[in-house]
Parts: sequence; structure tokens; C-alpha cells
Amino acid sequence: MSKRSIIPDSTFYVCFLDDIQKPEYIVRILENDHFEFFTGSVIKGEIEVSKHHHLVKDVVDHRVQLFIYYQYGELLRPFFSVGEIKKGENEVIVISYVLFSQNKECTIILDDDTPRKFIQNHIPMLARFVEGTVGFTKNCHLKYKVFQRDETLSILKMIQQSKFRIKREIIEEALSQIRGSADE
Amino acid sequence: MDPKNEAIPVVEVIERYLILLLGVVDKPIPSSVHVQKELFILSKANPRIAEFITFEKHYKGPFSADLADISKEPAYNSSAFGYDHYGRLYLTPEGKEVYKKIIDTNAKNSRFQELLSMIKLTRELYDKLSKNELMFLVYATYDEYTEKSNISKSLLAPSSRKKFTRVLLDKGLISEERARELLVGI
Repeated sequence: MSKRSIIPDSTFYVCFLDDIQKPEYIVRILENDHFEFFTGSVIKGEIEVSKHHHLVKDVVDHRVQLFIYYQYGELLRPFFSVGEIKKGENEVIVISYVLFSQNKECTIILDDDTPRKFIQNHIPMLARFVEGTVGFTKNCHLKYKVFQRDETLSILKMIQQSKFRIKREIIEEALSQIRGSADE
Repeated sequence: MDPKNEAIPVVEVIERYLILLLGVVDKPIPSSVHVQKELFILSKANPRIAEFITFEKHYKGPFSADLADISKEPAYNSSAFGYDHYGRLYLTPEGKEVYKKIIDTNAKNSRFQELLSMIKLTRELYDKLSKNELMFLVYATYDEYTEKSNISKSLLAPSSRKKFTRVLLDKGLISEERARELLVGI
């Protein structure tokens, strides 16, 4: 089975590292053989800023493939604000497009509305691959079996109570789907 | 371009970049302004392009005289491309053959494949802009290129800024945050 290419923005990593402070979960996701993780230099820099980065440094270095040839985000610089560029959202979009062009099965993890809308409006072929951190975490139980049911409920509740910004109805819906699922 | 081809003359390299830019999407590039600005933006993502194409501060800057000359009169692939009556740059059947040859030669080069995807994305996004929208965005993003420009002043004047920012926002190309940034100081 071919691996699924995962391209998250920095908020995904920061959610586990700093918002809920559970780096062990990101380690389990990264080490799962269903996935190949990809990133660019801007996102990697954002992960390294986390005060808990040292706890995941080895696994990130070994399991997250770095796109190195080009300054990928620069292609979209004119469309994004300085703050959005610093978060690497433009970099995620370009790297995702490159992987999509190589016929990779992709999941693009984007939590902010701006890059999601940009994809919907202007690169619609990528739209069906976009998920948020909460949606991907939910699927780490429902689809990919990385987490057990109770673990997933616990992670989602921690996210709900943390400073991670997410609409209430989205997390309630995810919790409801997990509660309704059977454990394996 | 194949980074191993160090010995290819600069003019031929520029022609090949043009052929790639033209061939990656099956329609002409809307204008010479698009040719210049799309390759300029690509050179920001791939600084190797800037080793071959020098973009000057110019009255329509960033602008490469070499690129302008070569796009009008290719030297190595003399009938590969040309401008039509609408000012669009198009690839001829001969040019399509050259494009195919470049693609086939680099089929296993991952770096080239990435570049090709990025060129395609550039075409898909920036071809949608009018000449003035494109120049407005380029001047607003790379303000060092306004220095010798005789059109940047009018494009970046408060009334134009408001107009272009609104259009780009309505097209969903820029975010609210970017729109606020473009309107700073007005």
C-alpha cells in the first residue's frame, strides 16, 4: 500500500507540542508507517521555535522529509501577508501542489481559513485533500488506526480546553463521531 | 532546467525557461508583462533562474532586457514561440517539440519535476491577473523595484491601491490580512 503524504502547517505541530503539551502523540503519528510527512524550511523553523522541540527533534529529523531545492513559499508571497508567510501557509500550499503533481495521495493539514479559501478558489484540485488538525486527529482513529478510541477522545478534549483555536461545532462533531465509533 | 547542463549558453537557457513557461499550460501567456513578472516571481523561488536572467529596476521593473529580446526573437530555437496580434506569447508546434524533448530528457530528475510543478502553478495563478493587477502586486510586494518605475507611482497611489486591493480581495486571491497590509498608510 502506498503511503499517504501528509503536509501540515505549523499549527498542527504546535497544537501537540505547546497547546496540549503531548509530544508523545505527535511522535506516534510521525512514526506511523501509513504516513510520509513533508515540510519546508519555514514550517520546520516554526517547529524549532517550540520550547518542546527537543522532545521531538529526533523523530522530526528522521520522519519528516524536508523540501530543500527551492524557496517554495516565495511563489505565493504576493498574495499573503507577512504574518501568514511567517507561519508558512503559502509554503504548505506549494509543496502540496508539487506532491499532488507527482500523483501522491495527499492530506494537507491547514487550520486557518485564509489558505483553505485560497485553495478552494484558485487550486480547487487540492481542496478535497484539506483537513484541519482536529479532522486529521479524528481520522487517526477512524481511518488510520493510529490512536484508540479513548485516546482520541482524550486528545480532542485536551484540544478543546487548550488555546488552540477551533470552532466549537467542529470539535463537538469530531467528538460525537469518535463516541459513535467502535474501538478495535 | 537541468542543473547539470552548466555548459549551455545563457541565451539558450533563457529560451528553455521560456519554453517551459509556455509549454506547461496549453494556452498563450497573456502579455509580455506576464512573461516578465512570472519569471521574476519564479526567480524568487528558484534563485538559479536569477543567475541567468537579471531583473533590473526599470520603468516597468522588475524587467529583464534579455528576456524581452529573446521572447521577441529566439536565437537557438528560432521558430519556437512568438507574439500574436493580441500581444500574447504562444508556443508554436516546433516549440512544443522542444518542450517535449526537455520534459523527456529530465523525466527522472526530481528537482526538475518540482520546478515544472512550480512553473505550472505560477501560470495557473498569475495568468488570471490583468497586467495592472500583476504589476500592482509586484510593486507592492517588492518595493525596491519601484525606484526607476514611471508607473508604480500611479499604481500605488491611494485611489489605485484601494481599487486593486478590492478587486484582488473580491477575486479571493488575497486575504483580509494581506488587504490591510496593502492599504497601510492610506
